[in-house]
Order: sequence, then structure tokens, then C-alpha cells
Amino acid sequence: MRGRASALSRRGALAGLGAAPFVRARAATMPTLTVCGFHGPFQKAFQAAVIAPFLRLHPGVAVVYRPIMNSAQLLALLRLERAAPRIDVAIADISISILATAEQLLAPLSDGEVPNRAAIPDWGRGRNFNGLAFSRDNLALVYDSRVIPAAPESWMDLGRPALVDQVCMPVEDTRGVALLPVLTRMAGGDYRASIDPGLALMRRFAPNVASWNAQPDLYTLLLAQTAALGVGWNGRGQMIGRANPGTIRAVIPREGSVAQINTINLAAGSAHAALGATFIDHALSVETQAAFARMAFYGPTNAQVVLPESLSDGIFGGPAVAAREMHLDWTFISAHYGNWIRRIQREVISA
Amino acid sequence: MNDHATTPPRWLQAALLAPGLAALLITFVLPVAWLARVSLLPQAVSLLPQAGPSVPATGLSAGAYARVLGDPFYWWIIGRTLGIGVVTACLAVPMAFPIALFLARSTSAWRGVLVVLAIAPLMTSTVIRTYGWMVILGRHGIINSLLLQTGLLAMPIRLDNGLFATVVALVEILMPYAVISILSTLGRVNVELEQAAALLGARLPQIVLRIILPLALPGLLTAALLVFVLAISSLVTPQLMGGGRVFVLATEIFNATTVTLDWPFAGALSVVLLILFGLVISLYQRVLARMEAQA
Repeated sequence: MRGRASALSRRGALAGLGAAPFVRARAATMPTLTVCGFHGPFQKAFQAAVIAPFLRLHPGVAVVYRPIMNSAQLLALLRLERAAPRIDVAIADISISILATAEQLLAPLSDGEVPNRAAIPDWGRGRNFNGLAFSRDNLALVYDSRVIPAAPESWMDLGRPALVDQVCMPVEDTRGVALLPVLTRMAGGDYRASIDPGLALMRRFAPNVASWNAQPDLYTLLLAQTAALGVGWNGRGQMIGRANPGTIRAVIPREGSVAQINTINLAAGSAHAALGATFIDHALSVETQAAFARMAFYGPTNAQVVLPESLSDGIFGGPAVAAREMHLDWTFISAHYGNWIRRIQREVISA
Repeated sequence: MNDHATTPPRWLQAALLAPGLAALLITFVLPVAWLARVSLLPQAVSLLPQAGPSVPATGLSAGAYARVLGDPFYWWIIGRTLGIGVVTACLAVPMAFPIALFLARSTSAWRGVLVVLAIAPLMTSTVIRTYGWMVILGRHGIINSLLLQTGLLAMPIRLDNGLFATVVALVEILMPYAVISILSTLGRVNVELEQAAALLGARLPQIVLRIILPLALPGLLTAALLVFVLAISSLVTPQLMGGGRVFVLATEIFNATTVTLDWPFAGALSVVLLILFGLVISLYQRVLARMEAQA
């Protein structure tokens, strides 16, 4: 039996080798769309919920997913390839989408090219960015349920005395910039006027912080039991928690949270602009948005998507999360991004 | 006559040098020139959408340098970067010296294997080795577990995520470079001098201190320089072992490039790092020249 299996696999391998040049030739003639997006669990969910159904609908097309660490890396690639873009469709944080639009790196999309654009609310098709909102996520407390059996309820739990040296606060990036307005509001301030109250509150958590680092990421530290609680993203936390039952959980604190919007964009000068627009339309369809939300716990942006109650409770757009949502002016925050990061470094981490 | 016979003609010298010079031009001079140009750009690559389209601006500006040199925080980072480099070199070289001496003077049939073992860590990625240190120094790592089991500690202490962990990992990671450098120098030291000293009654510590060390000093300096330069340009180890607390020039360059997207600032910091390299290398050459003159 074993010998037969080996013979079969040998025969299969020989057939595969024989067919390889033809497969390659076919792939070379096929229009290939390059989609650039976040690596890790996002990539996995995107490939399964968005790309795989698209390929079933368009059998004569190939899609290559080019993973990136973060939106800033995407912006760097778009700038470098400005003269000859190799990226057709790009997924980015809204702040980077605004910047890339200003640099004329992203092409505008019309209702004619992307019919599902009409189903995206106004906030998801802003005047200052050419892309369209694809998904939403919330800043959340992500914790190890093996160490903290009862879910934390407040951002103040980051300073809980029992958690000395067990907190991970990767705040030298968008998470820190998004957390500051929340903490500022908790301390009675307004982030547009001053972030001093938020910085003071963040400093109070410092004695508990084992790592301020984004690398290795919070979720790895939680799984390795190097940290027990941290500031992370709700969708990613829930997705990793589902893959590792009984370990990681995410919760939106009672004081509220902010949303991070991911946009889907067509690169300016794309060689496959029409196909790229078709792909974006597919990504924004009701079925794809629902499938991606089920798989990745990211909130859908298509207003027509109706999610089951069990799912919508835990993600952005669901009633429980919506009640705790704090709206941010991302244009204002983008303008202060670098300065806020520098202040976090100096007045919190190095203090 | 002899000179003519041994010195190749100029055209041949130039032809032989050309490929190396071309490689150096493409892989070093041009990227550094590009970096210098980026560092002199106005801060067009900003996150200020309301300030108008941030298309690459024209003209040159020393603004990024003014921000680096006019801010005490960055002087502190430069000082800390140099400090980490000096401490790492001061620890790695004395630790590498006995290993290199043993390998250089070993007559064992296993010498070749031992040399390979000494430099084998270089075959593993720095990331993997740094992760290894995270396992050793972590909250639930080997050291904390041992200390807890033996009752020396009631609660785990923080050994990772800080300056201590960064230096420990850097010393271990960079030590093989020091071993190779010292080993090559010791190979050129005449063993008969040591044997003569031993015949005249010198003990091993005396031989090491009065014969081997002075003769191996240039090699030790080269090893220190190598470790220092690699330590001050290291990114992965301070990033992973520092827990976000260890700010060095490399981590700031990384942040400015990938987080705050302030490329002129990243360029200016990179140029500062290059100038530091240049200063240290020129200092090294002066010391070496003085030593050779004295010899």
C-alpha cells in the first residue's frame, strides 16, 4: 500500500513536472492583479474571504498578495514604484490613504467603476482620500484569559497593581496615537486642545509595562505568557484567540474606544485599472464583507451587511461596540502623528 | 629593473581595480549619496495633510540636521548608542581573547572542529539568536525559573526588555567576530617567543601579559572596532531585547522611516551614524599608526 502510494506520488510528480512549463506559460498570459495588504492573520483571512471567491468568479485571472508590515511600508513602495507601479490594489490605514492621495499615488474611483461604492457611508468615501473604506476595527484591551480569568472592564486595568511587569503597551505607533485621545477624555481633557492629561495617565501605567515594543507583537507575548494584558486591536485579538482557544481575548473597555479604518485603493497608473476596480467592487460586496467579518472580526463598511447578533456584538458596527465608540478626527491626528509619538517616547517611555 | 618586472603596468592595475571600484560605487557610494540627498530634503514627506499636498518638495534644507543636533533627546540617544557600543566591545573582546588563544595554540586533532564551533553561531540568524535570549532571560525563562526553584527569588524579576538584556545579547551575538579577528592575529604571533620565555622561567600569566598581549594588541583593537561598529548599527537586538525602552540611533532611524515617515530626519540620523563610524575608524587608524611607530 505504501509502495503504491509512493508510486502514485512519483507519477504525479512526473506529470506535474511535465505540465509545469505549460502552467507557467498560462500564468504568464493571464492578467495578474497584485494586491498589497497587511501580513499575518489579516492576509490569511483576506486570501480566504476575498481573493479565493474572486478567483472562482474570474477563472481567467490571477491574484498575487504582497504582504507588508504596515501602511507606512505600503506608502514607501507606492512612492518607489511611482513611475512603474507594480501594485494594483492597496490596503492601508486611512491616515496613509489620505497622504497617498495627496501625493497622487492613488486613483479616484467612481460609482460606475465600483457599483458597491454607493453602499459605503459618507465617512468611508471621504473627500480627502481616493480609496474606499474596506473594514473597521477597534482599539481594545487584549488579555490572556489564563492569567486574568475575569475580563478587564476599564483602560485603568492597565495600571492594576497585580499586573506589575505583565503589561505590553506598544504605543510607539498608531495604537499609541489612538489611545491618547481616549485617555485624554478619561482625564477630563480634549485631545484637540492638549494631550497632556492623556500622557499623564499613560505614565501612571508605566510601572506595569514589561514591553513598549511592537516587536515581537503583543499577541505573541500573550501566547508566550510574557505579558498578561495589552493594548491591541479587537479583530486581530479575537482572530488569534479563536485560533488558540482558551488563551487570548479582546474586550472594548467601558470608557470607550476608537475605530481604525482600513481602506482599499486603486494604485495610480495601475496596468490593470479596470480589473482592480472590479476586485475592489467584489471586496465591498455584501457577501464578501460578511465573509471577511466572520473570518477576521473586522467590522464591515458596506451599510447593507447584516451580521448575526452573536458576531456583531463583538465587532465594530455592532450595537455593543457602537455604544462605546469615540469618533476621532483622523485628519487632525495625522497632522500630529509624529509629534505625539515623540512625546510618548520622551514623556512616557523615557520618563 | 626588478621594480619593472614585479609592478604590473598602470592600465592593468586600473583594470583589476575597476570591478571592485564599480561594485563599491554601486553598493556604497551611490546609496550614501542618495541618503545624504534625502537628509537634505525639506520635510515634504510629512503627515500634514492640511498643509497642502505633500508631493516631494524641491530645494535643499538643513532642517533635519537642525532638529537632530538642536534636540538634547537626540544627543542623549547618540551618547547611549556610543555607550552601548563601548560596553559591548569592552565585554566581548576580553571574553573572546581566551577562546581565540586556546584555539590558536591548540594542537588537538579537533582544533578545526573547535574553530568551527566557535564561529558556528554566525551561521544562525541574529533574529533567532535574539529570540533565544528572550527565552533565557524572559519572565518565565531559564534564569528566572532556576532562581525561583532554588528559592532565591519569590517573584520573577525583569531581566529582559531593557538595557541589560540588550548588552548581554549583543555581547554574545558579536563575540564570534571578535574571536575570528583575534584568532587571525594570534596566528601571526611567533610561538617561539612564547617558548623562549617559558624556557627562561616565565609563567603562563607572564607570557600572556608581557608577550602575547602586546603582540596581539593590533588584533584586539581591530576586534574591538568590529564589535563596536556592529553594536552601534545593530537594530534587531535593541529592538527585540530592549522592550521599546532602549532608544539607539538604529531604532530611531527605523521609526522615522516606517512609523513617522520622516525620511529627511531618518536620513540625517543615518548620516550622523556614518560620521560616528568615520570618527571611530580614524581614531583607530591613528592609534594603530602610533603603535606601529613605537614598534
